Amino acid sequence: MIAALVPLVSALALGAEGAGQPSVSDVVFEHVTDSRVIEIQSPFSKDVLLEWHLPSWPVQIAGHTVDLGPTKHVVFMWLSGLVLILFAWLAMRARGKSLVPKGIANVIEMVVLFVRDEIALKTMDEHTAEAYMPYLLTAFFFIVFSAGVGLFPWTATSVGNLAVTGTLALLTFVLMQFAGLSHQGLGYFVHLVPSGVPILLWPLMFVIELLGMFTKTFALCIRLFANMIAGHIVIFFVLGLIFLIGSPLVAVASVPFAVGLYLLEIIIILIQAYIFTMLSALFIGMSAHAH
Amino acid sequence: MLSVIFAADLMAVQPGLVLWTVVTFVVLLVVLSKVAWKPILHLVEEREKTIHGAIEGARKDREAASALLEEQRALLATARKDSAEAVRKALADAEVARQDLVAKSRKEAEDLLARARQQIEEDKAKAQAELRGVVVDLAIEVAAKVLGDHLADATRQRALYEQYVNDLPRERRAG
Repeated sequence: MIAALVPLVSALALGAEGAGQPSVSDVVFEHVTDSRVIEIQSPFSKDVLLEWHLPSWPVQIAGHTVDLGPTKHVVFMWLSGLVLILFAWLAMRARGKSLVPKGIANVIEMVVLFVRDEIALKTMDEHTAEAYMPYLLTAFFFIVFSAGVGLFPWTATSVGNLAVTGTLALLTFVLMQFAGLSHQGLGYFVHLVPSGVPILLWPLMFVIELLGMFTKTFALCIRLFANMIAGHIVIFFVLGLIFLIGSPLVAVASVPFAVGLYLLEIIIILIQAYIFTMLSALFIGMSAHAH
Repeated sequence: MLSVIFAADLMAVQPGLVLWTVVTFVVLLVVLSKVAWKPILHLVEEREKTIHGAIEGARKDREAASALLEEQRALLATARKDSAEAVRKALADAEVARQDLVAKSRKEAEDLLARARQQIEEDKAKAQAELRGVVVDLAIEVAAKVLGDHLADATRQRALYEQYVNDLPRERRAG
């Protein structure tokens, strides 16, 4: 755990040294934002052991130039995806066709059962739950693994990026609309307004509910983003205090505190993955069933 | 602080990243559905069905067993009653048979006795008759010897003696 923090400390030390060097906050934000360069810095010196400049793929879309080149977050998102697929594959291989799970298959099955029984079946009917289970499970594991990969040294947290969480929220939004339209047809828009609303208030309520649909999605995106990035920023600044105050004695307090926050982050990742999945299921379920 | 956050591109949304997230997520969704979610959910369902079936089967078996036990118990009670009945009946039959046998043998014995008595009676009567004849003959013979030819009219004499002898026991019995 301490080892995981060493590269951060050295990076901060680098940032704190001398004039013309970047400030502590510059270093901190450089570590949590996306970039075109992947650096692996030596934990004991200022040397950069490996520097990988990612390619740029400019593409013309509707008159605008959009760079589709992979960034640091894209690379670590792919890495976490590969780790996830490997994990799932190993779990399924360990299990085989047996009805009783073995080894890591237990872990994956526990989560699958939790998502099914505590999330999907509590928010939707059985048939709908079955249809949306793959999405909910993939969202849960995607968040856990991409944030989990971000906990290791020299990596980046891809879900600590507004574009990524926004895309996840957008997928939930699309599924909300799809669930509403496929279960209720165009009546979905009529049923946005709860039944029993006085006819005079109906237009107002319709607008409010329509806005609510977007705010729900927006909240989903911001909540995940803020939670994923906040822990990292706080850990960095707690360690950064050593250099901001300029005394090695601060390390006595800030390093254990950073380790505690690091452990807290593991819990936050699981909780936020649960919350995102739970709310997605809830919103999809609410769209699918008229209220 | 807020300016720092915006200056650091923290809130920036790059279209490329959106596209790659969609692509990555969809690929993960497809691959994991095939590799993990579908098989796991299928196995879980199958296991639930198996467990449900096993519980249901156990319940049915238990019910069948208890029904069978009840049946056996009833059967046992019937058998016990039947056997007791049979023993009782056999005892009664034996008693009846014994009594029949005893009565029959008693009757037979009595019959035998009666027949024997009758025989004796008949024999006695015969013997008496014979004896009487012999006695009369003897008496006539003796008398003839004593009286010689005095008793010429033998037939008439004989009738006389016979009458006398016949009267004799009657008087005795009466005496």
